[in-house]
Amino acid sequence: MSAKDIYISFSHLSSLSVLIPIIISLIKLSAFNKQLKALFIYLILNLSNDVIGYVLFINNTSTTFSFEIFTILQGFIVVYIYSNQFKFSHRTMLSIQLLMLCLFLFIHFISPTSSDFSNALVDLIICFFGVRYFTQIFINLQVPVLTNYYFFWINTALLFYFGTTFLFSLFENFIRSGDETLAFFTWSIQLISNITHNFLLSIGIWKIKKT
Amino acid sequence: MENQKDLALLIVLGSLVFCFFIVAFVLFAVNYQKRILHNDSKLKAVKALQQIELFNASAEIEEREKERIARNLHDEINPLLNVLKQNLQRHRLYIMKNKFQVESFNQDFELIDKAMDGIRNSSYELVPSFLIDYGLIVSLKDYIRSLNDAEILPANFVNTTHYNETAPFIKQEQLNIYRVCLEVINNILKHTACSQLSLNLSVLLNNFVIEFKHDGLGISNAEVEKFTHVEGGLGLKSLKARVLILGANIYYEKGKENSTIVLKIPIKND
Repeated sequence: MSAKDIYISFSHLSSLSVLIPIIISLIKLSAFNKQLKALFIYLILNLSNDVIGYVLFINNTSTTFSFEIFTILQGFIVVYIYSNQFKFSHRTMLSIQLLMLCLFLFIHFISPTSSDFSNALVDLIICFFGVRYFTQIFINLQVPVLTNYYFFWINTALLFYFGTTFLFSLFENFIRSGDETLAFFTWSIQLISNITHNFLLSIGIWKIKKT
Repeated sequence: MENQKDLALLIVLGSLVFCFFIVAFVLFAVNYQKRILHNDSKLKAVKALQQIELFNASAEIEEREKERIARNLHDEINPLLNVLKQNLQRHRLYIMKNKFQVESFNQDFELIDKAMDGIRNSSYELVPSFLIDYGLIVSLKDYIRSLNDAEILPANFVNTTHYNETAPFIKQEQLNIYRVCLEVINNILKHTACSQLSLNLSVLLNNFVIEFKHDGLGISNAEVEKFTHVEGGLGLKSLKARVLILGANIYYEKGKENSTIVLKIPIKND
């Protein structure tokens, strides 16, 4: 089994794994608040990105543009999710989103053919919010049992995935242009972390209780 | 090419290190929270135990008070009433024999007065009627006056609050405050060997403050805490229980010349 075969297997598994949190979301949909509805959109967006990416790939079309759009939307949704969690005002949330958009445009302006930096930017923002969530828990201690609280799992999922893939996102083009075996190996790691991310999100959604 | 491969490997390793740190961070957060919650529940258990101990002490004190009052009624008033009954029977007999003794009859009035005094004292110990009729401030003032009158200790009473008679508390709270004050004064008289006492009332930041200032041997908060937990420290335990019920705080300050005990009771409804 070559590195490419392993990569393809993980790729299928990764694409399928996003269905688990989506199915659980559909079961628990009646208990969803605004934040979780945003998470549901985030999951649908992930699935759509995989499908669109696959279609573009088999038609030999560049996926850069669609990935950039996906990254921007993903960034917006995650900021919305965390703003809800941290009870940011509408104005603060919009300011963060606007700042993010400006940075995306700036990155696009200096590197129009690559989505590496915009991906890395989203990764960084999410890592920042993820760590902030934990530090807030240390300070306030408002959550009685952490592992029973849905957002702990969602935050862990996001922090784990975006933290692990930060360097991959930043050097995506470099990895792509290098040794093929190593490239497939790194992408496989990325896919494993995506499967873990989807699995953790599923636990989080499963932990949601009706209020 | 080799360099590129090395760099790619470094990226992979770097990402794995990132991943490791994130997992470690999450595990640390979960463990840290568990430890804090564990300590918190331990602390709550200790506090609950202390409270039970305090309320038990308070109940024991009350039981002892009731016992004393019962003994008082049984040993002092009951014999008086028995004597009175016998005297009345004797008087009835003398009346029937036309030998009624006015002097002896008049002496029986003294017995009735003694019995009435005894009953009054007992009921006063149950609930001080003076406090019920006149309120906390007048009662404390009267108590200080009684210390001076009985020449037990030269004592001062200073009230700088805008309350003249009754303090801003319900009757039950006033009774608790009064008993705390009496217990504090008794402790001062018993243990400090002071030659002067001053009781100052004031209002500070929505707290009703009662300060006991004396020139005897002082005591610190830590020492009081130590004495409260030794066996037999019933008075202090009961005092702490009453302070707890009032939602108040009591501070002990040890000075070279003067020492103070400050009781701060939050004013809920002015």
